[in-house]
Amino acid sequence: MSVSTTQQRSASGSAEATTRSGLVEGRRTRILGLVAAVVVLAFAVVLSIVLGSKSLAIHTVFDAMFHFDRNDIDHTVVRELRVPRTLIGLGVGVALGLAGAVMQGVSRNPLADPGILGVNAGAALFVLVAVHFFSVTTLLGYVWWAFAGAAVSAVFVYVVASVGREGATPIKLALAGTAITALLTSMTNMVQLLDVRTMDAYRSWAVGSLAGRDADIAWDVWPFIAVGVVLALSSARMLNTLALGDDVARSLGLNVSRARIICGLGVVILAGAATAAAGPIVFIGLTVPHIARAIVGPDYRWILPYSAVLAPVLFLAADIVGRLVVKPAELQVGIVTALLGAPVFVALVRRRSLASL
Amino acid sequence: MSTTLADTTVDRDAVALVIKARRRVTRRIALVTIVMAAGVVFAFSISLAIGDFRVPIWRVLPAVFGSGHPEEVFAVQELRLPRALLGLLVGAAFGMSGAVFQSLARNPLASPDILGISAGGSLSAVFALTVLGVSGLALSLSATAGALVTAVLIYILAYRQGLSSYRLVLVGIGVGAVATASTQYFWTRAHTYDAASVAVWLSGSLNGREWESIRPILFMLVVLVPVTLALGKQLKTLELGDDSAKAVGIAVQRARAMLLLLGVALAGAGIGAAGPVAFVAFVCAPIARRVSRSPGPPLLQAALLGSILVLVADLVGRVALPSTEVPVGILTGLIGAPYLLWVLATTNSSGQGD
Amino acid sequence: MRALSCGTRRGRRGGLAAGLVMAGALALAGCSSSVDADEGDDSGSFTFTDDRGETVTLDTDEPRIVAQEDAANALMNLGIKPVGIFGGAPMEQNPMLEGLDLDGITSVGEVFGEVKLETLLDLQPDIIVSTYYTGDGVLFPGGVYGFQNKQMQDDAQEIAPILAINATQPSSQVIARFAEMAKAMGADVEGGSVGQSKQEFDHAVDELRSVAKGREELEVLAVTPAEDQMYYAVPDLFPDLLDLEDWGVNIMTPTGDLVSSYYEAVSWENAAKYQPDVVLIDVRGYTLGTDELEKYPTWNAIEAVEAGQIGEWVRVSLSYEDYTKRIERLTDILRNAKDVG
Repeated sequence: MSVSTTQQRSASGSAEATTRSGLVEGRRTRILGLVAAVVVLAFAVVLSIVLGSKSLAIHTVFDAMFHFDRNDIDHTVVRELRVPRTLIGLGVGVALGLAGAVMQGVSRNPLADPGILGVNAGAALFVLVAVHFFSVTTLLGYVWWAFAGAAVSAVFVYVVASVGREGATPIKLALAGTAITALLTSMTNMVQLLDVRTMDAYRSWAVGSLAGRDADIAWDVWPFIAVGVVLALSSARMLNTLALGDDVARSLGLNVSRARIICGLGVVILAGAATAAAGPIVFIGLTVPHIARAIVGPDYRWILPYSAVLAPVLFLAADIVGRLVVKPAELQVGIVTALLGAPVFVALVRRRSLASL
Repeated sequence: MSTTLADTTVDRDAVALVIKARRRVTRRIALVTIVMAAGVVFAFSISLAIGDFRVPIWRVLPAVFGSGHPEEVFAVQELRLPRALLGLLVGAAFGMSGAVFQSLARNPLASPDILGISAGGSLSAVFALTVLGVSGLALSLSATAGALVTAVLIYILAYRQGLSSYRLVLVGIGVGAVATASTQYFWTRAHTYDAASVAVWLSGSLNGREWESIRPILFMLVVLVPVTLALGKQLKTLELGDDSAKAVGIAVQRARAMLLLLGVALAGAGIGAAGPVAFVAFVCAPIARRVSRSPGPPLLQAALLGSILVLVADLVGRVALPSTEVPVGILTGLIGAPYLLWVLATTNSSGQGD
Repeated sequence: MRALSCGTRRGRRGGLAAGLVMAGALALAGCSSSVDADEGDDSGSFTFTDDRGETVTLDTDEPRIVAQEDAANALMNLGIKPVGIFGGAPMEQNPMLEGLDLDGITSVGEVFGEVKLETLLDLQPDIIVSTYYTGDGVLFPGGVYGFQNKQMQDDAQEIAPILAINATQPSSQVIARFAEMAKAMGADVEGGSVGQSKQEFDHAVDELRSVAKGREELEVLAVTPAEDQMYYAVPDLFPDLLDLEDWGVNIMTPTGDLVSSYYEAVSWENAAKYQPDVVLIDVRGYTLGTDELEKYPTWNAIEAVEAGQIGEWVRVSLSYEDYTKRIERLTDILRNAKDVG
């Protein structure tokens, strides 16, 4: 399953002028586009602090940020609930967008999602184990378990897919991911049936949400996201080369296995951190890289930054929607991304250019 | 690849060789089928004979027909017989469904679970269970209906001047993800005890299924199985490729749609009866094909194998742990996943499998 | 393979046709080994009508009981020991069975709704005891708590008749009904330790009544805090809250949109929507406890929380002792509470 490209590449492997390169061509325009995207992101961040399931006047929010009054409960809502939530949403969005883009590049599968590596399933199982066998009850407590579960399952998937002559080819990765996910899901089902109380504690985490997450989680998770972002952004060239196919890439001097491992590591760290913070979230990692690709074409040196900026916009937007539709309660962001992401996904699949794959 | 026999000179020896080879293949298939059928009978019998309540083996058969100690009759007739029957039917439904799907898509990964159809059936069942509060026959039917509606939806969304199996799989994954997320949502809104029922149902379980649930799947299979078997030959030709099939005179898109509908209906029947039993559809067809070395889709063999798998898995689930029952879907998941890993390990880089 | 237990056959059970009793007697006669060691006292009899109107009559007054975890908790605290228990968790880890002597009791189901019917059959019980809920709380029409569907319940009913107490009534009445059942089974509920506990309970209730009457102005809110939302309980549907209302405690009724008939749900941003004088936290164990709740900023914004006026609700145990302790704690809080709401 390789992305069919119709552009010419120079022998050195660096893509400059491309014949089919998306809406935005030219270096300067792309930079401007990125800046515009960052502005939109800033706007989304502001909206995320201003809007919520409790209606607050704008001047209240302003006062909360700049003239904080400890005894005003509305100020508390803004400073201690919305700001951490926005920060975490930002981090999770960036992580998911980048993880999805890198995953699609590494696996040459335009419909890859970090969940394919079994990341979500592994995180879920470990969280469940933590609840049942170790009586962990707080979201903060879940974070490390989720991260560990994501990492373990991704490693396992990779190892299994590497068995055999060819190593971890994209197809074998997908198959291994499916198998491990199914296995982990079975084990998860089994553990959760052991105890009704375990299941109750687990099921609200499993839907994917930003509610109730505080600054502690942000502090724990952001370092990993930062490392993952660096890893991902620096793998852009490798992804461009890998897109040409394993054999061509090797002939261009790329150590394919090592490239896959580095990229895979970036995906695992990012996807693991995201799942640890917010629970399993679908579709962001899958659809945002396509939007990026539609704007800037197939060059990963542009796809990655655009994904990193656009994904949190979508994610925060989804969270805001969830906070507004059922006031004074909230709809979890995991549900919103699924519902909103689905039509986008289907539209993507029906696009003519994809149909030729 | 469309050469016609008329173009080549007919060699009498060559024809005789081919006929002999074909007969060998047919005999092998028949042999394997008979062995599998025997396996089903055996699995069915031990399902009736084994359980927490010990019934001596020579009294099992009389108990089936109502004679013997009343407790034994109760245990065998009321507790074990419906369950074994259901396991048999569900396994056959999923097994055959998997064979149809994998043959149509020419891809061993194509399976109702992965295509999102199971997820759709689960969604409507969980919705019916937690929001509408139904159970029993109504629950079964809503699950089946959900699977069918989901399949139609996927079909409509994936159809674009024809149906590419690749696009089908992709749209299926997407729809499946939405269905799963929505199911999660209803699950979180349920009361605690409802949520536990949901969790068991979602694992695929034969426990406590009512006789009412057996009737729909029985009727559906009585209709679907013969029809599917009859279309088996068309399916076999379709495997050779759309062009070859057209050359032989098959209306490709229509045959595909029909077979797809049958495959979905079979899976829907299974889901309605026992919930989404993981991996049965996925595992049985490749194994059946491998074992029988069948040139075409091993519809009957996959069905038989499915029955054996579900019956055995359910039995293990009943007796493995002393004080609890493991739903059959969990066991098939635990079996199916390593099988997939084994496939991976023994397959070449293209991962095509068979 | 063990032959069918003709030696431990008890030919008596309600609910099965008389023909079965005859067949059982014939089988007994036809078996070489016989005599059930723990054959109960033949001279007594047991009869009880449950809250659904079903009456069960047995020839023994020490019937073999299989009980659902709630019923098991109630009965064991009243001095009756079942032979089998089914519930939603393994017996040793089940909070409803904490502190009870589970020696010799067989588990008949550890996943909610899934009863191991063959194990049940093997135990040869005389009756099955459970509770039932009305309204939203019932899984299917006529549903008894602990059975996932009608088929399972009907099958269980064929093995032994079912008695179910209405759990939607005030907790004190639930315990009282179980006490009546226990008495019919031969337990001494008026004297001994049980009688003592009842007296202490009555005393505690009287105390609570008088304190509540004197502090009528105090508003009490019952909540179930979850990780991502806060739930306010509707008092008329929870057995303990019904009791508290009966005893004169002023329980607030949530006024917002209900997410289910039991609760109003709001996000944590709105958690301080109500400002009661006393907050009661759901202590079912998988919800957040006070330590974890301290981290939620809007939780601390509730005045009652700041003043430390926090109590517990949701009965975890159906025993007079535990209930007495909780009532006494609440009485203390009410007595010393400042009006903050």
